[in-house]
Amino acid sequence: MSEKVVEARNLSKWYGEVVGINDLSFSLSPGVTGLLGPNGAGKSTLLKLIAGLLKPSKGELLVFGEVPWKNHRLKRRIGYCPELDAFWRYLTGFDFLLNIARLSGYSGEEAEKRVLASLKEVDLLSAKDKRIAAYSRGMRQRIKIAQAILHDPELILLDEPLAGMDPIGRKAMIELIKRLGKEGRTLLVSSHILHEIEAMTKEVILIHNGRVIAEGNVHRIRELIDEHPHMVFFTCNDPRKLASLLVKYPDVVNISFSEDGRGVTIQSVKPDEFYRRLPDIVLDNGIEIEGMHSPDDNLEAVFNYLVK
Amino acid sequence: MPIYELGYRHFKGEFKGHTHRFLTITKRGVALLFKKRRFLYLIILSFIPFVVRGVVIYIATHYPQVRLGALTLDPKFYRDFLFQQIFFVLIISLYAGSGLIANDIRYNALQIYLSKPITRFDYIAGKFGIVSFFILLVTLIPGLLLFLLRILFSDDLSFLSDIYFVPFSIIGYSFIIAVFFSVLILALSALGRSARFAGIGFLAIYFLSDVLFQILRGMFRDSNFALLSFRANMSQVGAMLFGTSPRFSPPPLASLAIVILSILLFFILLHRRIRGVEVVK
Amino acid sequence: MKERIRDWFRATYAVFKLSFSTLLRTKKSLFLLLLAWSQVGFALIWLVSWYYGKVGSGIHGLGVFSAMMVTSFLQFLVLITTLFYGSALIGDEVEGRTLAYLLVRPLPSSSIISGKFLALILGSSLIIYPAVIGCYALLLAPYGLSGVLRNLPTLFTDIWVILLAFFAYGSVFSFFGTSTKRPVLLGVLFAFGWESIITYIPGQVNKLTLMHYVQSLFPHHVFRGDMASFLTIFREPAGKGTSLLVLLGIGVAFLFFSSLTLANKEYYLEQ
Repeated sequence: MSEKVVEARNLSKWYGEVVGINDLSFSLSPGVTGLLGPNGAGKSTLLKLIAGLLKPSKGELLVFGEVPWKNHRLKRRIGYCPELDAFWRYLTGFDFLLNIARLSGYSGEEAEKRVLASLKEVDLLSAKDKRIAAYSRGMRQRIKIAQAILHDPELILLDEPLAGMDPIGRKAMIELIKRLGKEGRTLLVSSHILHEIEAMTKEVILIHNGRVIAEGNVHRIRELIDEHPHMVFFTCNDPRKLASLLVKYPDVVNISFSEDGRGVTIQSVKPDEFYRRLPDIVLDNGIEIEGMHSPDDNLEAVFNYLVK
Repeated sequence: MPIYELGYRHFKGEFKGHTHRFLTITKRGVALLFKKRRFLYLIILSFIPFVVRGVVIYIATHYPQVRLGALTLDPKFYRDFLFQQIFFVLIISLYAGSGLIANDIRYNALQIYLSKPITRFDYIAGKFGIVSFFILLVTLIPGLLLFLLRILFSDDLSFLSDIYFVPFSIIGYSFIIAVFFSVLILALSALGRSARFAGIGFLAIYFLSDVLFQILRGMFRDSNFALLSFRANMSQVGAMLFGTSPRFSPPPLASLAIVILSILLFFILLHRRIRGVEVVK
Repeated sequence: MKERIRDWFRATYAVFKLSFSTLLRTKKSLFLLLLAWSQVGFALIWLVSWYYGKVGSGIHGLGVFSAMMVTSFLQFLVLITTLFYGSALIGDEVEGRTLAYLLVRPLPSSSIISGKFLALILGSSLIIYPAVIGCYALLLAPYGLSGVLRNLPTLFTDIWVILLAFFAYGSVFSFFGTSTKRPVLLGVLFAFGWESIITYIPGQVNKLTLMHYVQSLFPHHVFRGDMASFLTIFREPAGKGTSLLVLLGIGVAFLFFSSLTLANKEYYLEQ
């Protein structure tokens, strides 16, 4: 059983009358975990609680078995990339990271070595002597990530790390995140963009209105939602015939045809039975299936269903 | 066709004229400040001198046998009230004005404003309206109310022949105070992204000018250096508008010229600083 | 234990280096420098006027220096400088939304406050002391080298009293900056409201002001003028030992409160 790096039990955080996090219980193990939710769901609040920037209003939160609030020694093991686009304006990229390295406890040559390594990691070596105020949005995002990983933390918290990046930068950052996860570090990456999270990991925590609505492998979550009808889209030579053959079964709850008339979407509440009977129906009636896929075996469908 | 697609449709109505566009900024800013409890307490606090002087007027009119020392109900009484209100004007300008433009620059809201069909002047006028509204609230309104109280508490209105001009003096002096301090705080607010810098700079300029005057007067025993002090110049302008004897030797008209020149200078600085894009090298 | 102390100093130094480098590059530092050097400008005006015989008899350079020290430097520039830097100690990090970079590092809150406070002291010193020395040199130049050297003890006393004023006022304003949303307003009300008004009240009440103890240590006579009297009414001085203890004690106490506040307060860095 993996070591639990972060454990939360009945964790709540409110700001006056506004509830940020509501009775959250979850745990994090090494690897990459996506924290997914719409704006205002409580993702940033949760990351700040884990980073020790906020104090829980109720419940328990342990990071490496310790309480993160007012625990500056624990922060040696944590790297945090904030969502806010803010820097000390007069510093160059190199100076900014050098100061971060010194603040993290490194000095002299070791600090410079780490700075150059993290700049290389985020592909900003060529811009290291440029002032951060002159960086593009994507460059500023990368330097933020660089400061989060500079001191080799075991737990890395990334709040919307891909915001403002171009497609190439985004791809490189996703690869970096996956590699860090494979090295045995624990990463919690928040985003409201579903395909970004899907590209990084299959382990997700879905959060909405301050509550965890699902946690675990995205496919497993999908399987568990068996009340939600499973959709399958077929392209074939005679979609209407196929529909007429399937409609008589009680588990088929919805049929719709594509506009071009070449496809049909079937919704079934018992996908196992549906798939079991499908080959016989197709073969016995001479229907030529040209293509078949499930439009909702993905995170977006899962999430949209869960938050409805 | 009976069924309409609910897509984007051009607005076919009439647009309001440009003249009052700045009022949107002013109204919004004033409404936001009124929602702040601590600011409301400050406004209420600034009415305490008005209450005190109101009581003095009552006593002076109903109990003339009571000696109020130097407090006679002459034009100087109203001039002194407005001059003393400058303390609250400083605090209000600091609170209401220091972040007005600095925060827009910091949070890139200036670009949003200037991308709308308003000019830089509209933007400045809108912000100016916010600060000057509150300054006038603590100068013009209580000033005029004091004069009204004098009338209301008096049985005999013959005193009006001597001080009939005082309401106009109150209006004039209040507006000069409002314009001067509003433009100064906004100019400093436009200098950077920090409301704190604007606030402290505002106080520094105001107080330092007076400290320098005192030092030079001490060095050279000459009160003509009062022209260097914004505080002294305000005092001189007040004396001129209320027809009282000025405290310092420079002619009050010179002080007025300094005040007007300063206002122009601050306005030019303010106008130059308001731009949508900042180039960083 | 030794390692912890060493780590603490290393952390404080790292914060100091960062804060000092960013402090000096700001417009406010330039502004304060201009304010301070305007005094040197006036000292130069006096020197030129003296040279051309325009200065009234009986006005000694040392007297003018005393007046400048009390009114311009001590009761204005020192207050403005410490208010500027003190209120920005944590306030700038909150406004600039960079506080998270400090709070997620393995830094005790006392290191953060101490490092930044050291930057405040050094920055304020670099702004004020050259102007003080410049004024001293110019105002005492007419009396030759012997005049300048003879009054050096006065200058040295001024320097260390100003340092104490930086320490005491700086720590109070730093506490305002750490704990409140509007430290400048509070600082202004304290420095130019409370500290001024209380001196008018007879009796022992003026012992509740920091300026009372600072002025008790100052070697100069108080300058009397309209504005100066508003700022410099001064009664029975406190003992030098008492003044020193009070100022150091206030300084240490408010630095401690600032650390405590930073450790316990949640800062919501708004987007």
